[in-house]
Amino acid sequence: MPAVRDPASFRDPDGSVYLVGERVIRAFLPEGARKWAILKASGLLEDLLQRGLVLAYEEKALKDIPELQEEAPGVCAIVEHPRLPFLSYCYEWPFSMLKDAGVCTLEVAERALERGFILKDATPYNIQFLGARPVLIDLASLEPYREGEPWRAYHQFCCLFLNPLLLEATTGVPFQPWLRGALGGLRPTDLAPLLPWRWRMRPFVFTHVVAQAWLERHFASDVAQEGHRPLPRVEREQVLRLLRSLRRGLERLRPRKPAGLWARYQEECHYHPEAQRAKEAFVEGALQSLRPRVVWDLGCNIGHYSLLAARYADLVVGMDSDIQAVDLFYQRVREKARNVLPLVMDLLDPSPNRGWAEEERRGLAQRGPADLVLCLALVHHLAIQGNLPFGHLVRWLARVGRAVVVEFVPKEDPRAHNLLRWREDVFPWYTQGAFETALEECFTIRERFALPHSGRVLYTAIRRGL
Amino acid sequence: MLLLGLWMAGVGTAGPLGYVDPSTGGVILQALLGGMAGLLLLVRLFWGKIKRLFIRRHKAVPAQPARKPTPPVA
Repeated sequence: MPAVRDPASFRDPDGSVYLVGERVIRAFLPEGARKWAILKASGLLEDLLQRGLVLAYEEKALKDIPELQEEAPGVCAIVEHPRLPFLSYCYEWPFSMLKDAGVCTLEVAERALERGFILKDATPYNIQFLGARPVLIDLASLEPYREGEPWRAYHQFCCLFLNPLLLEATTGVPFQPWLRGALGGLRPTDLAPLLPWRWRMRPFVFTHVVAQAWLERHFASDVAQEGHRPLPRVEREQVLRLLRSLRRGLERLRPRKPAGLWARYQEECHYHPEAQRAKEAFVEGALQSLRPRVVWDLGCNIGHYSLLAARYADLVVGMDSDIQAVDLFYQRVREKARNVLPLVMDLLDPSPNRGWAEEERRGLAQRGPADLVLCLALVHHLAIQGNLPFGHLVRWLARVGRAVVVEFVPKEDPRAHNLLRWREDVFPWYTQGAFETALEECFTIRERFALPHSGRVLYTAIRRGL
Repeated sequence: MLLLGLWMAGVGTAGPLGYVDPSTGGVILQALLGGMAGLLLLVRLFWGKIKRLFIRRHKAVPAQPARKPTPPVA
């Protein structure tokens, strides 16, 4: 099995991540290996591991992975990480997740600095959620601290954690579209003019956004003309104070928007109790018989069925376009569920491939297929609201899932009817028969169940050719 | 140029650049938050800025011609 460098791992001159079959190997080049040896001997990693702040690793001998020597002959040391079943990105996280990822980054930086190490970069792309728990995955980010050095990653932290959160906290504008549009994040010079005046005057915001933007605007060109310069000296205590101040500031931030329409859906949507029980039993039956390892719950809302699936699966990725509903879902599972990952995802406009050569950050479909896709009370939204033909939907489902539990909501259903309230009914093709025909193009229907007291129908279907 | 000269002369420095761009604003801000050294830098940075503004204004003053009353339009 050849070793393939992870397409997102090319910036750090100290080493890279390689994929060897299903194995994930972090390889250190000579300078990186020197820093790694100091880090290992310090005991810092054990402390961070114990606190659940970094991804687990296992040291390996170079001879254990001969494929790597052919691909990267300069490598001096390697460690192996467990392979994560699903990678998520910051533009798919709701406010609370980005905030927790930021706090995790600062906590690692603070603990590292107390022991004489510094986090040399601070990006949410170095954080992954194990279920609902953020961990730092890039161990090569930790390197010995040189006395008098400022925190080089401070600006990066502001652009990718602090400023997006401030944008949403101060204006109510969601940060996800911005982060999706700019891998480098939101610069202080871009954020400062957007801030309401009463926020600009707060010491925390003034210091980290307004003052930083002003300095950037007025002095960046002077410094650029001078070429390479050593950094000004900043004492370690001062860097620690900066990290603590950022952490306190981050912890105080709250999203400005009230709970959205879909965040209230679960309470407002009144299935007949018998229909509700029958639907749960059907989904549970499918989970018991299929025993999926990874489940995607599309249109998860606040995660009712994701939590049901989490009893049977190793990982449930819940996705919904309603940012507030996903945030609420995350807050529900943050402390208890270790195998549920809530994400913001508009299925009519899912995350695309991004970054260098369009390979750095993978689109949604590239991160599948899931063993089972739950698509409950969603078809009418995609088909009627999104004008999506059944054929398109079914072919995409077959791309991202090996099996599917899907609910068909007829046009007469009050929820579907509601969608047509203000628009012309241009969906003569929207019938149960047409849906089944489309579904059978790519799937074999294993079970069909009409919900009592409702015209809705549930299907369990297995992708053809498996 | 002047700013950097002053910076290099009066304030301590640390090591070469890393692979992440710390950005001018981020670096100066940290230096400013750093107390006395930062304060010194602040004064010097502002001194350069003020001086340049002063020079610009100083040069601009004699260039302005005295206003003459506008002749009435016939």
